[in-house]
Amino acid sequence: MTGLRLAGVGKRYRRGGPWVLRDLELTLPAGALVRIEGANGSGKSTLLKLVGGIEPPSRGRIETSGRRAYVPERFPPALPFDAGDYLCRLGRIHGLSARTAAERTAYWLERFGIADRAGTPLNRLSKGTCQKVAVAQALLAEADVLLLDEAWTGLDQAARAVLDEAAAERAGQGGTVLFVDHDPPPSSGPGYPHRLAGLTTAAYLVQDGRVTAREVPAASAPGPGAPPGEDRGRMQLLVAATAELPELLPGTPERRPQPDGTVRLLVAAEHSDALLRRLLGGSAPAHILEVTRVAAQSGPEAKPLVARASSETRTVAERASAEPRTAAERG
Amino acid sequence: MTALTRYQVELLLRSQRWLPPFLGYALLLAVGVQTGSPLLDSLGVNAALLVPVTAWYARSTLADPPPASGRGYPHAARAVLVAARGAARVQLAALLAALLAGLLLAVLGTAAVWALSGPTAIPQPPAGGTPTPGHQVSVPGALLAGLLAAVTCVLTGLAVGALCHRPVLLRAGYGMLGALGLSVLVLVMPGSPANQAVRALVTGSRLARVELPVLALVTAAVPAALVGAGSAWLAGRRTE
Repeated sequence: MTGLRLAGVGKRYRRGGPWVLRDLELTLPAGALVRIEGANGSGKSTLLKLVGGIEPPSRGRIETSGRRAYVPERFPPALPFDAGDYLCRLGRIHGLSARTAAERTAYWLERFGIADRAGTPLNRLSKGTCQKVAVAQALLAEADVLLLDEAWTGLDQAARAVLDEAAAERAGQGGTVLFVDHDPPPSSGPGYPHRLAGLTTAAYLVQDGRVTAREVPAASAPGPGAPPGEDRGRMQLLVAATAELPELLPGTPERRPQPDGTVRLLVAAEHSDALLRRLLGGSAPAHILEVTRVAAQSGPEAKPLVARASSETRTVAERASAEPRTAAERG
Repeated sequence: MTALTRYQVELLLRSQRWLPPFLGYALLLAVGVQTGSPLLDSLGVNAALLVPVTAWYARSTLADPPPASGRGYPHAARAVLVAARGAARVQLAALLAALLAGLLLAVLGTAAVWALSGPTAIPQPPAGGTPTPGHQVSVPGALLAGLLAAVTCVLTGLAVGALCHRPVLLRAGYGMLGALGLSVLVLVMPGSPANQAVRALVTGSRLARVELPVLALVTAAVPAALVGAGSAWLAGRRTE
């Protein structure tokens, strides 16, 4: 299985120095979107560096599998490459073919709205644009372990939203995403939800060298892509799973196994697209038999949106996979 | 690994970091090799110079790119590579890039010395007395010996450079001094591969005899590979 595991991990930066982290036991499944909290200097970045293999643990073992990508908290713009060249090269280093690397570079530059900067040397980019390149570098790998160390800092509102979406997508497609972000805590009031609230599957607090699980903010806050403040009800997916469904699925759907072996998944409407994408994306093979909407406050009777016909189901599948990136993958 | 090595080579070329070692090498070669000096002697000078020059290249490729105008964290560019590929591979790719730069100079230097080469015959027989004709070395043989010696010195220089930089030597202040001192040491220390290779050329020039430093090349390759593998192992275990 993918995901990552830390067993008895401790870290100190010099022999005899203080323990930054100690006795860390952490297992994160594929599809986890994990928030790391803590004060400045508490060891959040160290935790991400340990998982990224950038710092070796002083004790214990860290197991990750698949591709790993890391966005450092500060990215040096002094590299003698153009933005596009740099991303292509990083794509190759991540193990992509030359063509896929070029396609994904174009895709992410476009998605962050900096396609016109592809030929600009990194050292001539503004700080925010450079940060977009740093983020794109990690996203184009489509890594199994994605580490975002305050990656939102310096990005404009539009780019922050793109990164929110991208992080949720990566988790939705079966990656394990760890992020550190200093956004206002819940005490600031309901108007300031945590970043990626509602999509985060776990949260951990790093304090005094210990890592403790935190209560995950309730899934009531609107996720990215959903119109805020509007309750769109729930969607019901009838799924024939070819293998066991992953433990973590976008929107944490309620599962109702049916007598005939199929499973009904009930999920908040704003997460249904992400859930469909995950189920159709290949990392969680499942055959979708039916997609229906369940009215927000009404009873269990559901109005079918898609008939029980395979041709109609394929229409849903095609729509979900019509993203440019998916085309690049298969190309 | 190929993509990483290509990235490191491009970084070396585009960052202009290739230039100072190259200029130093070209300058010293121009001073050391005068037009008309014996071919084998000049090849010896060329080979000896490649020890500190390759060590310098190794230091250049192992170092982090400079952060722009005081902002940024210097290891960030490397951290991104390490997360993607692991510290050991990043270290090996940097050393490979330095090795390629050194090998390129070895070939260019040998060709330059050939172009400027002086007599391949010696005016006097080694024991003194009357000059005898026929004390002459074959040019292809001499060039091959020169190239083998140059590669021996490149490998030695690579090991020196890797030893005098993180992750092996953690005190950055001693790196440059250490690399220079160690380069001189391996050149003058009898029995070291670099010393044997250069000595074979210089003695050969005096005796008008070509001696291929194959043994020196092999004995240089072993420690270079060991240092490379050892430093890659250390790279994954040392804290920044």
